[in-house]
Amino acid sequence: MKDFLVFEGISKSFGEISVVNDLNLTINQGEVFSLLGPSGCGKTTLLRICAGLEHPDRGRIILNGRDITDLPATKRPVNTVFQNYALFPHMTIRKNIAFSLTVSRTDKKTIEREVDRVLDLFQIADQAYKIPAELSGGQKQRVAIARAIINKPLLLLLDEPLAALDLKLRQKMLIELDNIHDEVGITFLYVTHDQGEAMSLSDHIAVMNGGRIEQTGTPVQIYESPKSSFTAAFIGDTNFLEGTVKSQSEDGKYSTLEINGLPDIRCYNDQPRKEKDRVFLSVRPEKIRISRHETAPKEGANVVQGIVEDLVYLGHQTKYWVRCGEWLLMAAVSHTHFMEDEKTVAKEDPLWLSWHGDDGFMLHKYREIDEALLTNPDIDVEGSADPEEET
Amino acid sequence: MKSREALLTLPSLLWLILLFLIPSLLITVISFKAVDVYGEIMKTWTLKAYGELNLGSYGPVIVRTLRLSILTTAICLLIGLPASYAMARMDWKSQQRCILLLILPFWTNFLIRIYAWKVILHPDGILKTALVFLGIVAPDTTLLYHEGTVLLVLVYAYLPFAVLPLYSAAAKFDFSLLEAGRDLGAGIWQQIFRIYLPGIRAGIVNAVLIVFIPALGSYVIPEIVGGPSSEMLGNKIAHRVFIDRNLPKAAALSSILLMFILLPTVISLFNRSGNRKEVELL
Repeated sequence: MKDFLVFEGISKSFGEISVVNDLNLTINQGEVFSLLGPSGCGKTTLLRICAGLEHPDRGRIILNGRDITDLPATKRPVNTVFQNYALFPHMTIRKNIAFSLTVSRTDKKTIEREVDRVLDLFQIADQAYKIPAELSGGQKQRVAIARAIINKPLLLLLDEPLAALDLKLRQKMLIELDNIHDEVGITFLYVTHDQGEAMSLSDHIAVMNGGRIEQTGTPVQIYESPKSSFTAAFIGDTNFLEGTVKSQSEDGKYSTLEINGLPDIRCYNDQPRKEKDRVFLSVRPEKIRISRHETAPKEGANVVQGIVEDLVYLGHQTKYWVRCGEWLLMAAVSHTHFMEDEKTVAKEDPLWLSWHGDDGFMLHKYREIDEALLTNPDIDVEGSADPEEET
Repeated sequence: MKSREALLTLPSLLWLILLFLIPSLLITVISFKAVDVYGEIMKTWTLKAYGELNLGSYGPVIVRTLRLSILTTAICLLIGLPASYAMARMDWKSQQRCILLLILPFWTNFLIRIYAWKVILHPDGILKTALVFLGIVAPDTTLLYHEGTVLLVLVYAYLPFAVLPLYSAAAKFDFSLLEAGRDLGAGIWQQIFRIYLPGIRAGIVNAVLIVFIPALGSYVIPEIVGGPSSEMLGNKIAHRVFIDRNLPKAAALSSILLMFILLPTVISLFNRSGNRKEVELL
């Protein structure tokens, strides 16, 4: 079902600080939808508005055709997996999971049956009589999700559910979350600042910044055709090059760009461009190939020459920062083939960079500040802060 | 490691032995001794002190002592629980200020604060005059020397002792748990009884002990603001010591008081050791 969950013109301020700003968003039934953005972008506030823990200053929330804006949290068919799990420390795992059924005064037999079912589903039956303090992070995570879905909500909200886990466990839990989603079929609204989590789990992603939606789309759309410098810089790494459109190809599919100090660059038009348009070219580092010798450019490829200014060996790839005139381009090269005795690239070496005209994309929205995201992903872009996330 | 931990408990163990166990044993021993007419304790053993405790006169005092102590504890909890909750939810600065306000009265001597109540509640005192003026009480009512007066001043004296442990438990409580409860459908009362109160259980237990035990042994408060009809066991013990010079009898009464405190504590200790988890939570 389309339009399963609809946010209509949602605004929320805490005192002077506007945290969510006239936000519109539509989520389909049964999908995993991620709200992705840096801390302070308002994503957690939006989630809390959805849970009923905050009331929006303006706007409506419609869930499954019903306006739930004024419905108290206790009555909403929406449950939350909290970032710190918020398991009740004085109750056994069984009682924690049974909580929503207990408070709704479900009969004992049904509670027992449902708790057993969920304990089995999450493979935590042997933890049932422990208390939360005796569980590992991953187990607590499972209990938190089990507790949230036992009452069969229409919508499950997940607030950075993996943030407290270490990397390996996080990857394992991601797969588990995906399986759980397939199993229970509940719509997931997933809040995260981790692009990897969002990309691997989501059907759709909304990139949030400064209380607004920057872009909505599938993971591929978000990564491959970002609409703004913020999206391009926040999701993955990229190089920004400022230039003007010099000419159009005959079929109108490609622009030729004039960029200060570089040869003409070809770029695919994701939308019609005119000559003299000022544009920002974004090229992802992994799309750039490097070569130690000047070779004849392949059809459709751009080649620029530069000097290696810095490089970092990361194991699975090496990152090169190459000075090309006034531009410093980053190229990330994966090691599909690695020979110890091969002559490696060193600092100050000349290097030829090339990328296909289809792999760059032109941005019309560009803000200087977004470039800072590339070196410091935790930067507070709008200068606004979400009081809930500050603590 | 275990023996080192045991070593660290040694000072408090010595403290307890010196200042609690030995005095308690002394009192128990004295209660079985005979006394001469001058109040000198003699070497002979006797059950006379207990035999002379007649239920007709001490029964009502014991019942009143228990009643007043239980009521004091209950009222202190009823006021202290919301107060400590409100304090814990304030910003840090306001919390500090509230704690200061709680501790401030202790800078004045306890006796003087109790006498102050006598002034306030005096037939010509400010409260009585105001209440009569407002038509709330009749001019011939006495505010002093009632059981109610004793209860009022007991609550006044022990409330800070209830609020402090309650506050320290509430300050450690993770209030996002209440939101989790709300999210899972728990209304306000269910949040309180299923999540909040169990969450600050340790603080409640401490508050009860810290109020109930001293209240049981109250002597000064009923002596100053109470009348003959509101005497507590503490007054009786004092009378036996200072007026009758009959230490064994006072010791016998004290032993009874000690039993009131020790029996429930020991029983609950045994109950708890059967339930490992609850001990861990405390």
